[in-house]
Amino acid sequence: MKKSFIRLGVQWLFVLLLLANLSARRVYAQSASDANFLAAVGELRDATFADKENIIERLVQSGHANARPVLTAFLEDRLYVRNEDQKIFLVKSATEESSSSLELIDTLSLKGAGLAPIDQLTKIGTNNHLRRILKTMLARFELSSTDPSVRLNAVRDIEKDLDEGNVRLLRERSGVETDSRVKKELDTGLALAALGDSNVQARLSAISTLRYSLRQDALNKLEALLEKSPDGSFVERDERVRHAAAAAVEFISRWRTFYSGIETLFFGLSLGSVLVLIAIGLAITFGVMGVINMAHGELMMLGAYTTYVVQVAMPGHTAISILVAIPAAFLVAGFTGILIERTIIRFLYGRPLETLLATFGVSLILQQLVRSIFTALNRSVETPAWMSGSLQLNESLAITYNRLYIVIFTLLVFSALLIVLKHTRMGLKIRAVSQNRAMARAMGIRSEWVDAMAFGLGSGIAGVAGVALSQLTNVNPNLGQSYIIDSFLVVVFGGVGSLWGAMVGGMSMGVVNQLLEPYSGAVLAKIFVLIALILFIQTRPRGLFPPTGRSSENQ
Amino acid sequence: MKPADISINYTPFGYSDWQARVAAIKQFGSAGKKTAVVSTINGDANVPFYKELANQKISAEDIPVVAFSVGEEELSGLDAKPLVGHLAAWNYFESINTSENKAFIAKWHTFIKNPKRTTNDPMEAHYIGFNLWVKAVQKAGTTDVDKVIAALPGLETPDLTGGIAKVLPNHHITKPVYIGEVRADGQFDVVWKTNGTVPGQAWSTYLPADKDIVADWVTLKCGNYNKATKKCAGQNYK
Repeated sequence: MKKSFIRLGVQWLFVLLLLANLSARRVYAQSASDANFLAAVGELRDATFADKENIIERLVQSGHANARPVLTAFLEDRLYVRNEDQKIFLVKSATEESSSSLELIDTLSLKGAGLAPIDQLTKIGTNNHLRRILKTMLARFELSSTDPSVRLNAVRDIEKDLDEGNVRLLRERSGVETDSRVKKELDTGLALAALGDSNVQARLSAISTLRYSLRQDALNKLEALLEKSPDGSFVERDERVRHAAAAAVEFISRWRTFYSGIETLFFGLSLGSVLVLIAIGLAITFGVMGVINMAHGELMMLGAYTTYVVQVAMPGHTAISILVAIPAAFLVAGFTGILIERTIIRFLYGRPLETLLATFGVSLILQQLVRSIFTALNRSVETPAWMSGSLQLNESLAITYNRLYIVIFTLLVFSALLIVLKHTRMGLKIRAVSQNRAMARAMGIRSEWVDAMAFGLGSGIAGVAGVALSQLTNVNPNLGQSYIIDSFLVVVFGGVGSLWGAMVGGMSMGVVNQLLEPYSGAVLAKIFVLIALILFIQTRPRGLFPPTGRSSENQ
Repeated sequence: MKPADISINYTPFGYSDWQARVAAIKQFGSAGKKTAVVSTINGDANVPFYKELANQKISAEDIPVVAFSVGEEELSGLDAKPLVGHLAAWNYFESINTSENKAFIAKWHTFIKNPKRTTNDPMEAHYIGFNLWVKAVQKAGTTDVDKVIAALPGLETPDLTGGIAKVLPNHHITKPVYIGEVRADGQFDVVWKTNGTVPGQAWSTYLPADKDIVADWVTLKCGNYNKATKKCAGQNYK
């Protein structure tokens, strides 16, 4: 009995020892891989860009669990060296200008390691080549992400580098993928790789997959199949594959041409909508009131600067500040307009030449005023996230958000202006005064007050146009000058005094300009449009939508 | 490089409607070959160009843009985030880590009373130029223009990046060449640099028309001496 107890005890002891031994080995193994990992990360400190590439490779191959977070941080510029002990840390998020210290994260435990002031840290930099490598490397990890859109981007990144290993990864993922969009992208990627397959059937089925993808890289690879090698024989030996590829190339090219036509049309509409936006304000002051306001462009510039000021006043709220800027710019430009009207223009009604000269003077004063306050340098207006990037409609057609929103915005402003003029009391008065001043006064309308309001309305719209322009071009004191000629052209072309004329005129000028540009270049396109306009005005001096009725006779 | 692989386009000065141009670049770049844009865009037209590039999702990793006229001062006037990774070539960057440069930046910030103002390549050029002029005046003992010019060739002064700027007989100086990548804060990371300084050349050795022309103000006293015809064209140069 006693003996068996001892034997059991010895057995247990043996098992315990064995376990202890095993776990000790595991700890040892763990720390060895950790040590390697840390050493590799540490080498990043003073490596050249070429060395960094090797180190990245080694980190991925080490299979260490922390390779991914460290490399992600490296890609996102969040890998820093602490100057005092030369230790490498991840930091919480990218550098914000406002914060002077960063939250450190240990590379091994991935736990917080306190704060460090930013001047005590040195960033480990990347260049384009490294970022590209990192993206493809990380894409392999992200292929198993739970978010389908992350997986989609990962597949796209991997497609840029279709070597054997990556193809195998895509094939494995394709077997378990559930999201239809990712699945489609995977199929395309695999088909792209299969075009080089030695099996004829595999090539044929790859072509039939790629046929509907409309992608440029698919088109390139298919076209490569049809090329002849220097000795005159086809690169692709099999005739069936060549036929299928030729049909696919024709199909893809035809659709791509169609979509690029739509794209050009959109470019034209977006250019046109900018023209319309800057011209409808002028359509009121020039068209309805007959005042040639050379300071119209500077009112737009004021609107753009208002956007800048609002953005500076609301740090960290770029997304909302642009919406706040719209009414603000309307008010700033509108009141400036009323001020100009009350102090200068009202003394000059009926004397177009003097009005032109006086408002030109005002435009110079406004420019210099802005130059004195903000300096002549460009001011940077940030584009909010919801206005950057593009809307991918299909493989070959994408529409940039900022242009899309500006087209929509133009339509909104245009309809708002139509409603104001046609359906409000003020609009009624403006129309009455513009049609017959004496009669309107006889009816008890304060024509002076109406003039000021109409001028303010036109100027306010110019300010709103400035908000839109701040998203497209530089905000500087000369902003207005570059658009004033175009806006007068649109108003004259469309028909003086007609809002619809400004709309149709601006849009058609934009589209014609963009249609001509690919063939003639930007300079000639502009000249052609100008010549066409002059010829048009020769035959129809009153523009597209000439003013009709009795009021037009005394003009 | 095949002629079909090069696409050249010119636009008016101050152009702002880049959408069609950038779409063409995107199309050109998707042909499967390594593509880069060499941009000679000057001044204001740069901002809408880079914005459009970013909006059409052309990243510097796929199609980098090398610019010759975008420096720290220009970047300070625009939102640099869409530009990250694009390249610029200069002889000086504010981010270059030398003690001379740090001292210069500190002095500049005290002078302008604004720690956010940047330094840039033209400023360094003036720093070198003024120091060289001072040395030339000291050597010539007068501020007489002709004598100062005669004293200039051969003079040396340290530049801000740890090199020596030397005035050559052709009145150009030696400078290092750096290629930098735009960072999100509007500064540049140097990604390539020449070994030491490069002597400035007045005439290209590649253009057939310029091949035989040399500038030498010390022995030949001529800015456009033709080695083949042994004549100095002077002001009548065509």
